[in-house]
Amino acid sequence: MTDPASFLGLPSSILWLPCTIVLYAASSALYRRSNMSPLVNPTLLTIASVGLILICAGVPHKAYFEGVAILHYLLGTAVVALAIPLYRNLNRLKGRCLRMVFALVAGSLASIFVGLFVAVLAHASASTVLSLAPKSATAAVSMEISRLIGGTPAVTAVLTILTGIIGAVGGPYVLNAARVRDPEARGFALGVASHGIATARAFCESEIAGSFAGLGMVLNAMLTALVVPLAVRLLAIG
Amino acid sequence: MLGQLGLLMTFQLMGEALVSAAGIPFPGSLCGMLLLLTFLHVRGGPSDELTKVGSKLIENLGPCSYPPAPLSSRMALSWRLTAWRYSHLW
Repeated sequence: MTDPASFLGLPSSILWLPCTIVLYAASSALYRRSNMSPLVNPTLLTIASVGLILICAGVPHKAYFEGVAILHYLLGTAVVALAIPLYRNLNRLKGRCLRMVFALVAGSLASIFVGLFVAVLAHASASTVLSLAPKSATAAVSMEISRLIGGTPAVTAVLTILTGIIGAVGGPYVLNAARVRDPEARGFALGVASHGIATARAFCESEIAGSFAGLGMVLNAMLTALVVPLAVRLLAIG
Repeated sequence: MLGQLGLLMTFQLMGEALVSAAGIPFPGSLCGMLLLLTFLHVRGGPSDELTKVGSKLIENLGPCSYPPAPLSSRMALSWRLTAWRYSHLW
Protein backbone atom coordinates (compact mmCIF):
# COMPACT_ATOMS: atom_id res chain seq x y z
CA MET A 1 0.00 0.00 0.00
CA THR A 2 1.77 3.07 -1.26
CA ASP A 3 0.60 6.47 -2.29
CA PRO A 4 -1.60 6.04 -5.39
CA ALA A 5 -0.11 9.11 -7.10
CA SER A 6 3.43 7.71 -6.95
CA PHE A 7 2.42 4.85 -9.27
CA LEU A 8 1.73 7.42 -11.95
CA GLY A 9 4.96 9.27 -11.25
CA LEU A 10 3.04 12.31 -10.00
CA PRO A 11 3.71 14.37 -6.85
CA SER A 12 1.45 13.08 -4.07
CA SER A 13 -0.31 16.38 -3.43
CA ILE A 14 -1.68 16.69 -7.00
CA LEU A 15 -4.28 13.98 -6.37
CA TRP A 16 -6.17 15.35 -3.39
CA LEU A 17 -7.94 18.45 -4.72
CA PRO A 18 -9.74 16.59 -7.54
CA CYS A 19 -10.30 13.62 -5.22
CA THR A 20 -11.97 15.79 -2.54
CA ILE A 21 -14.09 17.76 -5.02
CA VAL A 22 -15.23 14.69 -7.01
CA LEU A 23 -16.15 12.84 -3.82
CA TYR A 24 -18.03 15.91 -2.57
CA ALA A 25 -19.95 16.12 -5.86
CA ALA A 26 -20.75 12.39 -5.64
CA SER A 27 -21.85 12.78 -1.99
CA SER A 28 -24.11 15.70 -2.98
CA ALA A 29 -25.68 13.61 -5.75
CA LEU A 30 -26.32 10.81 -3.27
CA TYR A 31 -27.78 13.34 -0.83
CA ARG A 32 -30.22 14.65 -3.46
CA ARG A 33 -31.19 11.12 -4.45
CA SER A 34 -32.00 10.29 -0.80
CA ASN A 35 -34.56 13.16 -0.88
CA MET A 36 -32.12 15.20 1.23
CA SER A 37 -32.30 12.97 4.27
CA PRO A 38 -30.27 14.64 7.05
CA LEU A 39 -28.54 11.30 7.66
CA VAL A 40 -26.88 11.35 4.22
CA ASN A 41 -24.93 14.52 5.00
CA PRO A 42 -22.58 15.32 2.06
CA THR A 43 -19.82 16.86 4.23
CA LEU A 44 -19.82 13.80 6.49
CA LEU A 45 -19.72 11.42 3.50
CA THR A 46 -16.86 13.37 1.92
CA ILE A 47 -14.77 13.36 5.10
CA ALA A 48 -15.44 9.65 5.68
CA SER A 49 -14.65 8.59 2.10
CA VAL A 50 -11.56 10.81 1.67
CA GLY A 51 -10.40 9.75 5.14
CA LEU A 52 -10.74 6.09 4.23
CA ILE A 53 -8.66 6.59 1.08
CA LEU A 54 -5.99 8.46 3.07
CA ILE A 55 -5.83 5.66 5.65
CA CYS A 56 -5.64 2.89 3.06
CA ALA A 57 -2.99 4.71 1.05
CA GLY A 58 -1.05 5.80 4.17
CA VAL A 59 -0.84 9.40 2.96
CA PRO A 60 0.91 11.82 5.37
CA HIS A 61 -1.35 14.71 6.43
CA LYS A 62 1.10 17.27 5.05
CA ALA A 63 0.85 15.85 1.51
CA TYR A 64 -2.93 15.96 1.72
CA PHE A 65 -3.00 19.51 3.04
CA GLU A 66 -0.57 20.78 0.37
CA GLY A 67 -2.98 19.50 -2.25
CA VAL A 68 -6.13 21.05 -0.78
CA ALA A 69 -4.68 24.29 0.64
CA ILE A 70 -6.68 26.31 -1.94
CA LEU A 71 -9.91 24.73 -0.75
CA HIS A 72 -8.98 25.55 2.84
CA TYR A 73 -8.29 29.17 1.85
CA LEU A 74 -11.79 29.39 0.32
CA LEU A 75 -13.26 28.58 3.73
CA GLY A 76 -12.23 32.11 4.76
CA THR A 77 -13.48 33.61 1.48
CA ALA A 78 -16.90 32.02 2.07
CA VAL A 79 -17.00 33.73 5.50
CA VAL A 80 -16.35 37.11 3.81
CA ALA A 81 -19.10 36.35 1.24
CA LEU A 82 -21.60 35.93 4.11
CA ALA A 83 -21.78 39.76 4.22
CA ILE A 84 -23.96 39.59 1.07
CA PRO A 85 -26.89 37.51 2.44
CA LEU A 86 -26.48 39.32 5.76
CA TYR A 87 -26.89 42.72 4.02
CA ARG A 88 -29.87 41.48 2.00
CA ASN A 89 -31.65 40.04 5.04
CA LEU A 90 -30.98 42.85 7.50
CA ASN A 91 -34.52 44.22 6.90
CA ARG A 92 -35.98 40.87 8.00
CA LEU A 93 -34.55 41.51 11.45
CA LYS A 94 -37.07 44.34 11.98
CA GLY A 95 -39.77 43.32 14.44
CA ARG A 96 -37.84 40.17 15.35
CA CYS A 97 -34.73 41.85 16.67
CA LEU A 98 -35.27 41.28 20.38
CA ARG A 99 -36.32 37.64 20.04
CA MET A 100 -33.39 36.89 17.76
CA VAL A 101 -30.87 38.57 20.05
CA PHE A 102 -32.24 36.48 22.91
CA ALA A 103 -32.03 33.26 20.86
CA LEU A 104 -28.52 34.14 19.69
CA VAL A 105 -27.18 34.90 23.16
CA ALA A 106 -28.82 31.77 24.63
CA GLY A 107 -27.58 29.51 21.84
CA SER A 108 -24.09 30.93 21.69
CA LEU A 109 -23.44 30.97 25.43
CA ALA A 110 -24.97 27.49 25.87
CA SER A 111 -22.66 25.95 23.27
CA ILE A 112 -19.57 27.69 24.68
CA PHE A 113 -20.17 27.01 28.38
CA VAL A 114 -21.70 23.52 28.17
CA GLY A 115 -18.61 22.47 26.19
CA LEU A 116 -16.27 24.20 28.66
CA PHE A 117 -17.86 22.73 31.78
CA VAL A 118 -18.14 19.20 30.43
CA ALA A 119 -14.45 19.33 29.47
CA VAL A 120 -13.46 20.70 32.89
CA LEU A 121 -15.58 18.02 34.65
CA ALA A 122 -13.91 15.34 32.54
CA HIS A 123 -10.49 16.68 33.66
CA ALA A 124 -9.47 17.47 30.09
CA SER A 125 -6.12 19.21 29.63
CA ALA A 126 -6.15 23.04 29.41
CA SER A 127 -5.26 22.85 25.74
CA THR A 128 -8.30 20.61 25.03
CA VAL A 129 -10.61 22.90 27.01
CA LEU A 130 -9.36 25.93 25.05
CA SER A 131 -9.74 24.05 21.76
CA LEU A 132 -13.31 23.11 22.65
CA ALA A 133 -14.62 26.58 23.57
CA PRO A 134 -15.09 28.11 20.06
CA LYS A 135 -16.45 24.92 18.40
CA SER A 136 -19.85 26.34 17.39
CA ALA A 137 -18.38 29.17 15.28
CA THR A 138 -17.69 28.40 11.62
CA ALA A 139 -14.40 26.55 10.99
CA ALA A 140 -12.34 29.46 9.62
CA VAL A 141 -13.32 31.54 12.67
CA SER A 142 -13.16 28.83 15.35
CA MET A 143 -9.64 27.76 14.32
CA GLU A 144 -8.52 31.38 14.45
CA ILE A 145 -10.06 31.93 17.91
CA SER A 146 -8.44 28.70 19.11
CA ARG A 147 -5.02 29.90 17.91
CA LEU A 148 -5.50 33.31 19.55
CA ILE A 149 -6.41 31.89 22.99
CA GLY A 150 -3.69 29.22 22.98
CA GLY A 151 -5.72 26.18 21.95
CA THR A 152 -4.78 23.74 19.19
CA PRO A 153 -6.43 24.86 15.90
CA ALA A 154 -6.26 21.33 14.41
CA VAL A 155 -8.20 19.86 17.35
CA THR A 156 -10.70 22.74 17.11
CA ALA A 157 -11.12 21.95 13.40
CA VAL A 158 -12.12 18.38 14.18
CA LEU A 159 -14.46 19.45 17.00
CA THR A 160 -16.02 22.19 14.83
CA ILE A 161 -16.75 19.81 11.98
CA LEU A 162 -18.20 17.28 14.46
CA THR A 163 -20.42 20.02 15.93
CA GLY A 164 -21.56 20.98 12.43
CA ILE A 165 -22.31 17.41 11.41
CA ILE A 166 -24.14 16.53 14.65
CA GLY A 167 -26.26 19.69 14.27
CA ALA A 168 -26.95 19.16 10.57
CA VAL A 169 -27.82 15.49 11.00
CA GLY A 170 -29.64 15.58 14.36
CA GLY A 171 -30.88 19.20 14.43
CA PRO A 172 -33.84 18.74 12.03
CA TYR A 173 -35.12 15.79 14.11
CA VAL A 174 -34.78 17.74 17.38
CA LEU A 175 -36.63 20.71 15.83
CA ASN A 176 -39.39 18.38 14.56
CA ALA A 177 -39.75 16.78 18.00
CA ALA A 178 -39.95 20.24 19.59
CA ARG A 179 -42.59 21.18 16.94
CA VAL A 180 -40.61 24.15 15.66
CA ARG A 181 -42.14 24.65 12.19
CA ASP A 182 -41.41 28.31 11.53
CA PRO A 183 -38.66 28.30 8.83
CA GLU A 184 -37.03 31.44 10.27
CA ALA A 185 -36.71 29.83 13.72
CA ARG A 186 -35.50 26.47 12.33
CA GLY A 187 -32.85 28.11 10.16
CA PHE A 188 -31.63 30.46 12.88
CA ALA A 189 -31.32 27.61 15.40
CA LEU A 190 -29.35 25.45 12.95
CA GLY A 191 -27.02 28.33 12.00
CA VAL A 192 -26.26 29.41 15.58
CA ALA A 193 -25.64 25.88 16.89
CA SER A 194 -23.89 24.24 13.95
CA HIS A 195 -22.53 26.91 11.54
CA GLY A 196 -22.00 26.32 7.81
CA ILE A 197 -22.65 22.59 7.59
CA ALA A 198 -26.11 23.05 9.13
CA THR A 199 -26.63 26.22 7.04
CA ALA A 200 -26.15 24.15 3.89
CA ARG A 201 -28.74 21.77 5.34
CA ALA A 202 -31.15 24.65 6.12
CA PHE A 203 -30.90 25.89 2.50
CA CYS A 204 -32.25 22.46 1.49
CA GLU A 205 -35.34 23.00 3.67
CA SER A 206 -36.11 26.44 2.24
CA GLU A 207 -34.49 29.66 1.04
CA ILE A 208 -35.78 31.54 4.12
CA ALA A 209 -34.47 28.89 6.54
CA GLY A 210 -31.11 29.07 4.74
CA SER A 211 -30.87 32.87 4.95
CA PHE A 212 -31.70 32.81 8.64
CA ALA A 213 -29.19 30.03 9.21
CA GLY A 214 -26.54 32.17 7.46
CA LEU A 215 -27.54 35.08 9.68
CA GLY A 216 -27.33 32.89 12.80
CA MET A 217 -23.92 31.56 11.74
CA VAL A 218 -22.42 35.05 11.18
CA LEU A 219 -23.86 36.51 14.38
CA ASN A 220 -22.72 33.51 16.41
CA ALA A 221 -19.24 33.69 14.88
CA MET A 222 -18.99 37.34 15.97
CA LEU A 223 -20.36 36.73 19.46
CA THR A 224 -18.10 33.69 19.94
CA ALA A 225 -15.05 35.71 18.80
CA LEU A 226 -15.90 38.34 21.43
CA VAL A 227 -17.04 36.09 24.30
CA VAL A 228 -14.54 33.20 24.21
CA PRO A 229 -11.30 35.20 24.78
CA LEU A 230 -13.09 37.13 27.57
CA ALA A 231 -14.49 33.96 29.21
CA VAL A 232 -11.09 32.27 29.07
CA ARG A 233 -9.49 35.27 30.78
CA LEU A 234 -12.22 35.52 33.44
CA LEU A 235 -12.24 31.80 34.22
CA ALA A 236 -8.43 31.77 34.13
CA ILE A 237 -8.18 28.65 31.97
CA GLY A 238 -4.88 27.85 30.37
CA MET B 1 -17.08 36.00 -11.92
CA LEU B 2 -13.33 36.35 -11.36
CA GLY B 3 -13.70 40.07 -10.61
CA GLN B 4 -16.21 39.31 -7.85
CA LEU B 5 -14.07 36.51 -6.45
CA GLY B 6 -11.12 38.91 -6.49
CA LEU B 7 -13.18 41.50 -4.62
CA LEU B 8 -14.12 38.95 -1.93
CA MET B 9 -10.49 37.83 -1.58
CA THR B 10 -9.34 41.46 -1.38
CA PHE B 11 -11.68 42.00 1.57
CA GLN B 12 -10.43 38.74 3.11
CA LEU B 13 -6.86 40.02 2.79
CA MET B 14 -7.77 43.47 4.16
CA GLY B 15 -9.47 41.81 7.14
CA GLU B 16 -6.42 39.65 7.87
CA ALA B 17 -4.07 42.63 7.46
CA LEU B 18 -6.15 44.94 9.66
CA VAL B 19 -6.48 42.40 12.49
CA SER B 20 -2.79 41.57 12.34
CA ALA B 21 -1.74 45.25 12.27
CA ALA B 22 -4.03 46.16 15.17
CA GLY B 23 -2.92 43.08 17.12
CA ILE B 24 -6.47 42.37 18.31
CA PRO B 25 -7.61 38.79 19.02
CA PHE B 26 -10.31 38.71 16.33
CA PRO B 27 -10.56 36.39 13.30
CA GLY B 28 -9.34 38.07 10.07
CA SER B 29 -12.01 36.57 7.78
CA LEU B 30 -14.75 37.85 10.08
CA CYS B 31 -13.16 41.30 10.05
CA GLY B 32 -13.13 41.08 6.22
CA MET B 33 -16.84 40.18 6.34
CA LEU B 34 -17.58 43.31 8.42
CA LEU B 35 -15.51 45.46 6.02
CA LEU B 36 -17.49 44.07 3.06
CA LEU B 37 -20.74 44.72 4.94
CA THR B 38 -19.69 48.35 5.42
CA PHE B 39 -18.69 48.57 1.75
CA LEU B 40 -22.11 47.19 0.68
CA HIS B 41 -23.87 49.66 2.98
CA VAL B 42 -21.92 52.61 1.51
CA ARG B 43 -22.49 51.42 -2.06
CA GLY B 44 -26.18 50.73 -1.47
CA GLY B 45 -26.14 46.97 -1.94
CA PRO B 46 -24.32 44.23 -3.84
CA SER B 47 -24.47 43.95 -7.66
CA ASP B 48 -26.44 41.01 -9.09
CA GLU B 49 -23.21 39.39 -10.19
CA LEU B 50 -21.66 39.67 -6.71
CA THR B 51 -24.81 38.18 -5.15
CA LYS B 52 -24.65 35.28 -7.61
CA VAL B 53 -20.95 34.55 -7.01
CA GLY B 54 -21.38 34.96 -3.24
CA SER B 55 -24.29 32.54 -2.97
CA LYS B 56 -22.55 29.98 -5.21
CA LEU B 57 -19.50 30.23 -2.95
CA ILE B 58 -21.52 29.83 0.26
CA GLU B 59 -23.86 27.08 -0.92
CA ASN B 60 -21.46 24.93 -2.96
CA LEU B 61 -17.83 25.67 -2.23
CA GLY B 62 -18.53 26.52 1.43
CA PRO B 63 -19.54 23.03 2.58
CA CYS B 64 -16.99 21.49 0.19
CA SER B 65 -14.15 23.40 1.86
CA TYR B 66 -14.71 21.86 5.31
CA PRO B 67 -12.96 18.48 4.76
CA PRO B 68 -9.32 19.73 4.52
CA ALA B 69 -9.11 21.05 8.11
CA PRO B 70 -10.17 17.91 10.01
CA LEU B 71 -8.52 15.51 7.55
CA SER B 72 -5.13 17.16 7.82
CA SER B 73 -5.16 17.72 11.58
CA ARG B 74 -2.77 16.08 13.98
CA MET B 75 -5.66 14.32 15.76
CA ALA B 76 -6.78 12.72 12.49
CA LEU B 77 -3.16 11.90 11.77
CA SER B 78 -2.67 9.96 14.99
CA TRP B 79 -5.90 8.09 14.29
CA ARG B 80 -4.66 7.34 10.79
CA LEU B 81 -1.26 6.25 12.09
CA THR B 82 -2.97 3.80 14.44
CA ALA B 83 -4.97 2.42 11.54
CA TRP B 84 -1.76 2.27 9.48
CA ARG B 85 0.07 0.41 12.22
CA TYR B 86 -2.58 -2.31 12.24
CA SER B 87 -3.10 -2.28 8.49
CA HIS B 88 -1.29 -5.62 8.10
CA LEU B 89 -4.28 -7.21 9.86
CA TRP B 90 -6.67 -6.46 7.01
